[in-house]
Amino acid sequence: MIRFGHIIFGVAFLLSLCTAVSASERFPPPEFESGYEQPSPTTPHPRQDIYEYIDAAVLLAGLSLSSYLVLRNRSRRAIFILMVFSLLYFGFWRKGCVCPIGAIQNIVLSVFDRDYVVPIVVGVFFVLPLVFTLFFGRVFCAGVCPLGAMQDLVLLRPVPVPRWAESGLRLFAYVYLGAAVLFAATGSAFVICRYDPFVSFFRLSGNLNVLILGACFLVVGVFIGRPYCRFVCPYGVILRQMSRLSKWRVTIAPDECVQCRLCEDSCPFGAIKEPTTDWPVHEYDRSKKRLAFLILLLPVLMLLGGWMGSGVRMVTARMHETVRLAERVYLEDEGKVEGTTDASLAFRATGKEVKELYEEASNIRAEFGLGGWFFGGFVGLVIGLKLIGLSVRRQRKDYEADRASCVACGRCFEYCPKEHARLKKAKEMIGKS
Amino acid sequence: MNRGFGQVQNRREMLGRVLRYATLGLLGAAGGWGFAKRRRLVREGKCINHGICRGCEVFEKCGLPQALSAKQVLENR
Repeated sequence: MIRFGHIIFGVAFLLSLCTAVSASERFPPPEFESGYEQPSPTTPHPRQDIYEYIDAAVLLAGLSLSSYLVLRNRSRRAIFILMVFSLLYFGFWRKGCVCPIGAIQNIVLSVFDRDYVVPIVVGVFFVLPLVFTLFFGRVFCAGVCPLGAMQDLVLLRPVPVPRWAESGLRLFAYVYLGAAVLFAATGSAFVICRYDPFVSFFRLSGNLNVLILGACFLVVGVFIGRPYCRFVCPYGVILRQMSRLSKWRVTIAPDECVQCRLCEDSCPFGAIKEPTTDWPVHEYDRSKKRLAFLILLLPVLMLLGGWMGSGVRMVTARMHETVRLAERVYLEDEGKVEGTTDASLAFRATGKEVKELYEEASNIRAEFGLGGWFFGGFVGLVIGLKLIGLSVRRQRKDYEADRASCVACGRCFEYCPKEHARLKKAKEMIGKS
Repeated sequence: MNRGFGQVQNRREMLGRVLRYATLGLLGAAGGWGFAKRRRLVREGKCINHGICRGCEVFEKCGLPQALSAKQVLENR
């Protein structure tokens, strides 16, 4: 029997391979002085406008169809076919770009950079799934996201993840979202795109470390349903919150639940919540005190997080190329390192003052200091709200798909006897007509 | 279903509805702000595509030096 611990060990082993790989450069550094040839790009070429609008139209059609299949048709098979189409179209043909997940960074950059605007199609890719989620739940995750589709296809032997592990691991997605926003806001890097684990598969090229990371996710994904979507995806974080507000949502039973418990273990993503029982009075009093304590703790956690986030600005600022360059130039000038890098050579060739570079790097570090307060405060807020959420008991009278966690894959439908009765009735109706 | 539970449900639904449409309004406002920013940059004669003419939405109308030379190259092809 495969245990959760075995999977963790397997992943740790695979990730350890990454360190060995990063020890050597894949290609010699480019030599600019004689006969330099431009390397062929690993990112897809920009496409003509008309194709971009076709992509947006396909996204709209995919979301509409997914909503219909999830909420009205309730057919897992049809959702699966749509998922495969999306994987082929948005993944392998479209090479995974533009995607709503990476679009978060474009949006953030456009807010913080006076001279940057989001291309219309990127804006559409970001907004459309959010609007659909507000009304129909996570239908984007169900049948349109190529990353989700890739993981869904390899899910062969689902193993339940313990609740404590699920809750803890899910926090990582919030931290990742916060970090992605921080790095995009400071103009340092688009980390979501850089560490997209599946884009290397779609493009059949790219960084070997990221390819190994993608392979890890796929191996883990054989046993744990959609690990990237559940524990890493920063867009999933936003969709989770939007999905809580959705007007319509997935229901396991087509009408009233008979509480037969057949669906209890049908969800590989741990998104089915069982009916709650009444609380004993003494437990209720204790939980009220705990809740009050946690609410008071919330600002403390935020301040602590902010202080820590700001404190590590010297490290986080290194993601910015100007800071890296300034540090390198400083080390070279002080004789603490031997030789030069392409970047430091190029900088010296410009004839720019070193002092100017240091000043620029110092300003960027200050930006990271301020951004670190927000980032750390956000992480503190998330942890605090998570603790509050764990101490609040919700009332449920039926087996329900959790609004936030449910990716609307439709697996649970076929476990419901009422659904079978509905399908039988529908077949009879078709037969009669 | 007891009465208290029903009231809580109704309150939650109303709050959810308010938040849903507020979020929708926020998304709409953000979109409008994006369009306004685009128009402002074009009006100020600034590049909106990080100096890359290919795939740029305003390339046909753009009069920036880089766009003019790109058009010249395309014409001489």
